[in-house]
Parts: sequence; C-alpha cells; structure tokens
Amino acid sequence: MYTLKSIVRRGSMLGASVALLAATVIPSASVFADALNPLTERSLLLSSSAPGYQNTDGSGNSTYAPPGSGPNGEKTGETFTFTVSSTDTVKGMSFQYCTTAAGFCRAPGNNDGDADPNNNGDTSDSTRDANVFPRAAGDETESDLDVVGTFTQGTGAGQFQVYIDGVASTAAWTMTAVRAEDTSWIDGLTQPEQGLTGKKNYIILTSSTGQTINAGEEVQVVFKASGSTYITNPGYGSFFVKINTYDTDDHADAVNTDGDSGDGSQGFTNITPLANNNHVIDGGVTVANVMTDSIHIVTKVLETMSFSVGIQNPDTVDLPGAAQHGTCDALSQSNTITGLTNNRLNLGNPNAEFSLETGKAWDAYSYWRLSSNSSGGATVYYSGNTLANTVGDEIAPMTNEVPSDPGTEQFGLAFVDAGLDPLANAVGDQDDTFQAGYVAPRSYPFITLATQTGAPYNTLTPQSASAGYDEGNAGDGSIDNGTGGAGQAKFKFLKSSLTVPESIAQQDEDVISCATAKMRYVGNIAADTPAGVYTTKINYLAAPQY
Amino acid sequence: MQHKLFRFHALAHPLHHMGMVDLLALVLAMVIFVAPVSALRFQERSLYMNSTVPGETTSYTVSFRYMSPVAVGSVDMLFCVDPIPYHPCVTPPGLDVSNAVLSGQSGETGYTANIQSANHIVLTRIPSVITATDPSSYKFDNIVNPTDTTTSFSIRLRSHASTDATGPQIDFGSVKGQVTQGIVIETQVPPMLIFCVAEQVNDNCDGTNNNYYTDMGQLDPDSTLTAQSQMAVGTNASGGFAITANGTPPAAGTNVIDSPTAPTESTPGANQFGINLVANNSPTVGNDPEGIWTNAVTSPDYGVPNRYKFVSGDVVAYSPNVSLMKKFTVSYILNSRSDIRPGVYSTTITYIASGRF
Repeated sequence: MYTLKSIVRRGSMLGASVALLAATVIPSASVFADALNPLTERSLLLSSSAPGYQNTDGSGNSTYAPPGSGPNGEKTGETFTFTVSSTDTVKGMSFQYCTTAAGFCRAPGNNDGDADPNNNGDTSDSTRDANVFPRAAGDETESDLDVVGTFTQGTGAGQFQVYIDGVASTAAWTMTAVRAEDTSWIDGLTQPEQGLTGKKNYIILTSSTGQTINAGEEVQVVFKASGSTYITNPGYGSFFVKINTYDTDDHADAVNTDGDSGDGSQGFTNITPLANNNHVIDGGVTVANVMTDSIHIVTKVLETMSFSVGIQNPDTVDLPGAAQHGTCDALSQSNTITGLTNNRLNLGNPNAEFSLETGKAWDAYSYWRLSSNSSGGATVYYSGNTLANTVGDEIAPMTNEVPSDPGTEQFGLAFVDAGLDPLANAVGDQDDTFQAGYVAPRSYPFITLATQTGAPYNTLTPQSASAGYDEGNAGDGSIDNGTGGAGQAKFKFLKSSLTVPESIAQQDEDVISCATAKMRYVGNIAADTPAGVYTTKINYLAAPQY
Repeated sequence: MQHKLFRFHALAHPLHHMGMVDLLALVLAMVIFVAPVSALRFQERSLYMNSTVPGETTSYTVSFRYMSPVAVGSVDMLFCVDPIPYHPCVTPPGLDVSNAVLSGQSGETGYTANIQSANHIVLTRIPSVITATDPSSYKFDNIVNPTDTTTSFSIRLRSHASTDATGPQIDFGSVKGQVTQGIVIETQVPPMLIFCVAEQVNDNCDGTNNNYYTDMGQLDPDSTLTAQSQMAVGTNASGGFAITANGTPPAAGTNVIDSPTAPTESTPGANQFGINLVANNSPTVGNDPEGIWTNAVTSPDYGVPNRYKFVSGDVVAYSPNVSLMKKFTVSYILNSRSDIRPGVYSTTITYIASGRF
C-alpha cells in the first residue's frame, strides 16, 4: 500500500490511472460485508432526513427543532434494524457510512475540499471544510456526515441501546467512532466536493462479554441524539451503511486497516477483512437518503377572538330536519321559546306583565360565549346599572353575594351551569346532531362555579374573579322558599360597574376553545319600591391577552 | 506587501491627525450596536375596552410588552377588521379614533398621540431604548366603538425606531376586541295603592270596624257635635297619593249648614260644618296622623288643630312620593244657630285616594 501511495504522489496522470485500476479491480476485495452470511431485513431510520446544514424549523427557529427532531439534520439520531442469519455470541458490530454500497468507501458529504489531497492516509494537509453551522456564505447547502461525541449505552439523549427482539441487550456495550475512508477513492476531477471528508464515518460497538443472538432474531441499535452527541447528516443524496457483526471485541483482530486505529486520531483507512478472517459473523448493507431540501410548511396562527352574548344557546334549539349544530356557534340574540329578540329579557311574573312581586322572586337567563387563541388567557367583565325607571328610581343592587330574599329590593346576577340545559338532541324530534369536536357547553377554562372542582377544572390554578358570582345555583338553586322567604342561590351586582367594569371571570393559563357561561339574574322588590317600568342593560366585555 | 503597508500607512496617517480614525471607530461601533435585530412579536398583548356597546364613545387600553431592547421612537396602531399586516386594512364599520386622546401611559412612556385618521394612531416620542420589562399600557379616551357585533376587530401594532412609524419595524403583533349587544332586562314594579275608610281602621288596612254611619246627635246652639272616622293609605306611586274629600255640607231638604271655606275655629251658635285631620282640644276630637312615613301629611288647611274647613274636592292628605301605610283620623264638627230650621240634616262624605304613578 505504501508503494501505491508513493506512486500517487508522483503524478496526477499516473495517479488517475492507478485509481481507475483500483476502482475496477479492488471493489470486490474491499467490500466484504455482503459476501458473508447476510444480515437480512436491514433498515436505517433517521430521526431527520434533513440535510446536515439544516437545524431549524420552518420558521427558522431552533426552539422547535431540538436534537433528534425531524427538522434538525445537524444533530440526528439513527435506528439500525437487521436480522441475523447466524447463531453466535456477538461481541462487536460496525457501521461504516459510505457513498456507495460497494467499492472504496468515501464518507458521505458535500463540503468543499479534500481531507487527504495526496491520498496518503494523513489528513494533516486537509483542505476539507469543517462542519460549522450556520455555514458560511456560499456554503449554505453543504455538510459532511460526521459522528460527534461518544454515545454511551442507555436510552436517554446522547446514548445508544442494543435490542434483541425488542429486549435491551444485557451485555455492556461501548461505542467508538473513527474515520474510515479509503485512500484509493478516486477524487472527482470536476467535483471537488467528492474529496474525502475526513469526518468520523465508522461506528464500532464492542462488548467484552458479548450477546448471544440466535439466527432469525432481530437486532435493533438505537442512537439518540443530544445537544453534544449526535450524527450529522450529509448535505445531500443517498448514502450506504455497511454493517457487520463480529465474534471478537478486538476490532483489530477482525479487520485489516491502515492508519492509526489506536486513538482514532487518524482513523482507519482501507478496511479490508483479514485473510482467512473468521471473526466476521454476518454482514450487510443498508441505505438511507437525505433530502436536499425538506418540505417547509410555514403558517402563522393569527390572533383570533369570537365573543357573543345572547339569550339562547343555539345548541339547545331543535333545528329543522337533521341539521347539524356547529362546534361553537355564536349565541342567539333571540329566544325561540319566549319569542323575545334583540337580547331582551323580561324579568317578572309572565301572568302579570312581567312584574316583580313582593312575595316571590323572579329570575331570567342570558349567556356569553368566548373563544380565543390568546395564550395568556382572558378576562370577562360586565358593565351596567341596576334596574332603574325613567324617573331615577332604582332597585337596590346586591352589593355582596347574598341569597335572593323576596320583599327586599334586590337585583343581582350570578353564574349557573350552561351544561345543564337540555341539548337539542334531547328535545323536539330528537334528530339533531353535533359536529365532531363538539363539546357540551361549559365555562372551561374559566372556573365560574364554586362546584367546579373536579375534572377538567381541577387542572387549573384557582381563579378568584368569579368568587362573588359563583353560587347562582347554590344549595337547591332556589331564589325563594315558596312562602316569601329567602332562597339559597346567591347573587351580586355592583352598580359601579357602569363606569368601572367588574371582572367576573379570569384565567391566564390557557387558550379558550369555547367557553360558554350562563348568567342568572334575579329581581326582588319591596312594598315601597316605586311602581314603574324598570330596565337595565348589562354589557359583557372580553379582553383576551395574547 | 511592505509596499502596500507603506501606502496604507501613508493614507491613514493624515486621517489620524484629522480625528477620522475616531470617527471611523464611532461609525463602526454604531453599525455593530445599532444593527437592526429581527422583528419579534410583542408579548402579553391585550385590549381592554371600557365599554363594548356598539357605536358608544369609550376608552381603550392597549397593553403589550416590548421584546427588542432597542431604541423605539414610535408605535403604530392601525385599527382593521383583520390582523394580517400585509392585508389591505378595512376599517371596522363605525369605529372612529380621530378624536382619541392619550390619557394615560405606563411602562415605556413619553409618548404623544399623533392621530393619523379615523383608524390610525401613531404614538411618537424621542427615540429611546426600551427598558421596561413589564407590559406597557396606553389608554385612549374618546374612541367611538365599531358597530358590527358579528365580528371582532384588530389593532395592528408595530414599533419603529423612527418617530413617525416609518422604516423597518422592530416588534409587531396585534390585539383583538369585539363589541357586543348588551342584555336588556326589563321588568315592572306594579302600581300599588292601598286605601281603606271606616269609623275605625287598622294601620295596614287589614281590617276595619265596617261602620260607615254616625249619628252625631241633636243639634244644640250651645254645643258642638263631633264625630270621627279613619282612613289609611299607602302606595308605591312614585308621585305619591292624594286624598280628596267629596260631598256636600249637611242638609235637610233645602236647608244647609254651611261650611267654612277657610280653616275656622269651632263656634257654637253658628251654622258650621267642618273637618280636619289632626288632634283637637276645642272640642276634643280626633287624632294626629299615625305611621312612620313622614312624607304622608295632611293638607295645610286641614292640618291645623282646632281649625276646621270643608270644601268638596279639597285634597285633605297627600304624599309627594312613595309612602307606605299612614292612618289619618278625620274629625267632624257641627254647630248650629238657634234658629236653624228643624229637620234631619245629613251628608255623605266620600274620600277618594289617587296614586300619582
């Protein structure tokens, strides 16, 4: 071999001739894996098929392209799978990455330069570019395959594990990665990137005790990437991995190499099987491919908000025929049952022109529904005056959360459970359906009721904004006791909300897919409450935080 | 190479004396340290609308956290239907920020509002480096809400190094808001008027003695005949109540015992029929009104002790506003001359209570 190297140094023409000769004669000798008992059902699964120079996601951010993820071609992991055809105690495995399946081996990659310009096995005169990312201008689409760091045995990031038929090997394995290219590789004359890469392309696993593997058993070797230990993909194209298993953990006994195989600084060159080699058990070649460019799908999720206030939940309305209800339709500003429109509610005895009574409490309901992709949550407020007539008489607001008490002037509001309304598929002709993804009305992720303590509300942090309004269904939910006394449901209303809106629901930890809240209003009068028509307008405000 | 170095030194030497080297260093430093950074999205963005009533004039508070620690001279706020920066901006129907006033600011401050149009505000200040780490807030008064309740609207936000929101953007983002139709709640408080009349009534009109007739006795020029009746009244009429006394003075055929048209003392020996609603001691008859509602009172002409009057249709008691149960005792006096013609003198006095709702 030394003679061959000397000849090559002396002239390019002669070198080219010799190289040509080598290319036609030597391949059959230098590729030994598939000449032995075959490893069958071979495959190589890359954690990323992106080229090595790509290490960011479609938006150019590294945050969403961690080592071992699909977008990251610089720091990849790999999974080799193959089936052995011989029963033996395996003490060594090797994985050699080459650009061709047979013949001289050149490590995959398309960096500029040649790691061994004079093909003497010495890379001290290398002109090959290093894998430095991001690449310099003009080299943006270049990278060489390289094994960086040393994987240790295990299942975590930066580790490897050997599995036999899905069970982790009981043997202790160590990993070594060195360069293993053939100096006889014919450098392309017009494609300088075809020079040797000088990078580590040869992985050796050894175990002093070894692992008995029976013929037909599947072997899987999984390398998981970490930030410091990983395999860098080449810049483009397909590459081949020659796999061999050995019955010795002394690799020098198994292969014949030039160069320094001791500390790996020079790597192996010109690997060939030893004469009459009996240490190789099985062998085979597998192939993988890196995409010169991944499919980058870029989209933007813009701020969204849909807030509706109404007097009927459309999910409770029997639609004509077998119509479908949407997943989060806007609330209706009219009510098919009461016939009221324009978000108008009548509060009082329907048999007495919706007037209030001193001996009985009356209530009414409305809804609000919010959906927003605001990651910081949202706050919902109300704003309005208490019930008042045109001459300025007002029904006293319930400034604290107290029960409804007929005979006492009161006006208040509170949350009740919108999910207790009978849905449309339980009323009418019962032929209504709901679209996929529909969730029964609920206030989640707002905690609006004191009783909302179970799943899924128990995953939320406590929310205090609803504290004064969360007992609209307390106890038996009554607003009077039937004989003119107080009920158990509690309400509150602040007249000051007219100028300073009062927050009644607030959460800051989640987006809001479809929060539906049902509001209950109560009105009571005293005997001396001035007669007249009393009205108020309650506005609800939603302020998402994106 | 030495030749080239010599030529460079020859060129640089005079610059050194001119201070140009220092200037060059300064320019380089500026290039390095003032190099534009890639745009980041404002964080913790929110829009608080003090009212969501469509078309109402209200205040907006826009909050966000600056992300790029560079000099900012302006913040562009463009009100559009959608938040997409490169889409044509469709102004939310009804929205008008042309009279907006920057009434408050916190965090990064020093801005003044430069109103560009009905949907465009530019906050401007002398450029200074962002130092606030908490969200900054800007409150605008006199913004007219959009009118479309069916869709949300957006405020497209951008910060710039320039003072007029031109040039490259630094940070960007948007917030959304929506006007809604409020819930109108309507109810009635029914009109209530409680009124009872009899010789004796309970305070709350929950009972009377059912006696509506009084024989006052034999007329005598030397003494005064008296009688009394009671009535209780209460109402939630916001304008209160009024009770009128209606009828004629006692008469026997065409002979009539006249009534004083002004409050007058009882004078035995004169033909005189009168009433009042207070306690008297000349003669002793009647009681003052009873009940806690002080706003229910007697009319002045019928509230003077020992002074009597009767004019049909007069308001004898009233309240200016809501008054619950008040009990009035009506005192009747009857005097006659000695030459009064004989006969049975009688009258019926009807009391009418009206609520002023």
